[in-house]
Amino acid sequence: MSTPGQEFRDAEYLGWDYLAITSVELLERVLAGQALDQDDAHNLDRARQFLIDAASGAKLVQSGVPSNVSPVESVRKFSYVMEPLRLARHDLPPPEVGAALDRMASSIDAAIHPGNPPDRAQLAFAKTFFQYLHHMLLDIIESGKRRTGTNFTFGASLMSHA
Amino acid sequence: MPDPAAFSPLEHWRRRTRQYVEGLLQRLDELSVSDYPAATPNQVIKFLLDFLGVIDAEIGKAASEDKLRALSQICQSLGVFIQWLDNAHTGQTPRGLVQLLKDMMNGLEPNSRVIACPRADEYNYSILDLGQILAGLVQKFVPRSKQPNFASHLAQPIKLIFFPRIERDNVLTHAIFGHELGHPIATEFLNGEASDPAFSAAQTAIQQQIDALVAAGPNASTMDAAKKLDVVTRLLGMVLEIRKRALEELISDAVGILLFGPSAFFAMFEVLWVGNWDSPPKNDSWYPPSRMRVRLGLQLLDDLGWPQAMDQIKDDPLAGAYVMAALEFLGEARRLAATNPDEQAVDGEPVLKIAYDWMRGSFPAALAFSKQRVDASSFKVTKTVDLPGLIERLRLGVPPNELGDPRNPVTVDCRSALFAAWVFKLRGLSPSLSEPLSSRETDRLNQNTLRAVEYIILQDDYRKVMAEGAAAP
Repeated sequence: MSTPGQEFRDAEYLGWDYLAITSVELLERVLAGQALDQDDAHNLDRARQFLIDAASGAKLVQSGVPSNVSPVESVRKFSYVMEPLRLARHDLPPPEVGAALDRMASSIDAAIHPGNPPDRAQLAFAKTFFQYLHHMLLDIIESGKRRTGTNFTFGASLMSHA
Repeated sequence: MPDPAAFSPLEHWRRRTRQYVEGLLQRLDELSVSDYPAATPNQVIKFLLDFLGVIDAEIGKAASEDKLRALSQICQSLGVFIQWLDNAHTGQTPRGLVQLLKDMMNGLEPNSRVIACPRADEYNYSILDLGQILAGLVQKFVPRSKQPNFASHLAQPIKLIFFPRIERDNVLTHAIFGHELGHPIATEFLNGEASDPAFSAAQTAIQQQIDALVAAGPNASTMDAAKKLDVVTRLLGMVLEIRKRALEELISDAVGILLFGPSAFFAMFEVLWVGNWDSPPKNDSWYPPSRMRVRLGLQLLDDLGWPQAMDQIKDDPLAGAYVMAALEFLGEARRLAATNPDEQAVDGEPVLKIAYDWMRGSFPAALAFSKQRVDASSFKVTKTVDLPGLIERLRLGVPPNELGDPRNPVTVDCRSALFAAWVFKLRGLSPSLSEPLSSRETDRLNQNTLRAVEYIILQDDYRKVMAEGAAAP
């Protein structure tokens, strides 16, 4: 009886992956001084929210501080961003992981809402981060799939579920 | 101007990605002429056609192979809808089943649409909030400016309900769908916790427990800060997920019993019997131990008064022997639940213990929430009085859909029909031959029960139409 099927989990990874690769493209355009339309701004805002949710997960994991975000969601997102963060910056001390996520989110917020100029270094870092996140998610999506051949063995998965 | 004769990798992958869209469109076109038990599958097909229109536009705009790669993955993943729709047609799904599920869903979430879909690849009863999945597709992949175009598709809840194909005709086991209808209730409860200060305080306490667990671990002294962060994140994520899954399943079990009465318990017991009663929760499904589910189900049945109500008719000349058999079945379940190797296994593993101690503290509130939430739709214990008359009909080989004077019969609740059928089956005795119930007679029992469900729903629909006609000016 109901546990989220693989197809449902894949949809979640695909959604994040699409957001990651879209964010890379949009951040490139921002850094190149190109204008964003409303759809672009909406997508970057979703990327900002993703980073904020992951930062909430970081605060819960490191300090036990809860937030308004579902802890299951925030910790899950945090677990996925750690590896891309380390790849984007090898020397990032663990206690500063949450702050790094918050800084990226703030820079994207500034890029969406003209007023204060965005921190270009942070935007460039965010672009690199989302690129690594995309590659990691693609690995996860592909690791759950068989593209050729079969591994069927009779009885191996004979569990009934209620 | 680029040379049209030159090979362009980007255009090659754009054409390749478009092939996925074309394949989906052709399969959807084939499926659109299937005979479905209700309109909902065609409504989903319409959504997919509109969605693929957006995806095609995004493919046209994509400026990188990475973007086309992501769009290809999305198209490939949509193939699962073809599988679902392929199996949802009338040949595989009895109309009576869809009607019963829709009726039950409407009690909990009005105007719900239901697609029932048999699965041959695994033995599982499950429900997906398809409306939420479709909404997620729109939110994640449709540009914001085009999202309002999908509002009509998403206006009503849609549930996709799976059942094992080999159980298509075993209508008695379909009482387990009460559990499936409980999952949205469980989600409501869990989402509502966000505003509970006790839930916030618990998160802090759990993080401290995990921190302490890692600090006391054998590798603690050699673990650097980065490794420690990885381990704590993983373990905290596990505890959160284990607790959430336990509550999801146990709340759903409770809702199933609230909605369907003992039939839900009997159906759950049969499904769980095939497995290991004491398997501890395991990655990544994290089901609670089956013995625990039986124990909590029995406690709820007792709390609601079902065994006591059944005991009161054990001397009935028509139904008494049947009710006794059902009470003996419950007695078997009690003997199973009386020992606790399941609890010992959970408490013997530190991460499971943290999660389950937290869950045990939350369960009373979850149960109270569930009772209040489904009270209007619950199957009341007073319906036990229907048993003798319905069992008599089953003994005569007649669908258990009504009671009383044949000239002016009273239609019963669908769930009374299921309850009577279960009690009849549990006795396991052919009434005409006084021999064990044969497979053929069990089939006939299922057929009569499904007919009863269909007659009851038709009668109810007829009554509503007549009432609307009488009320019209």
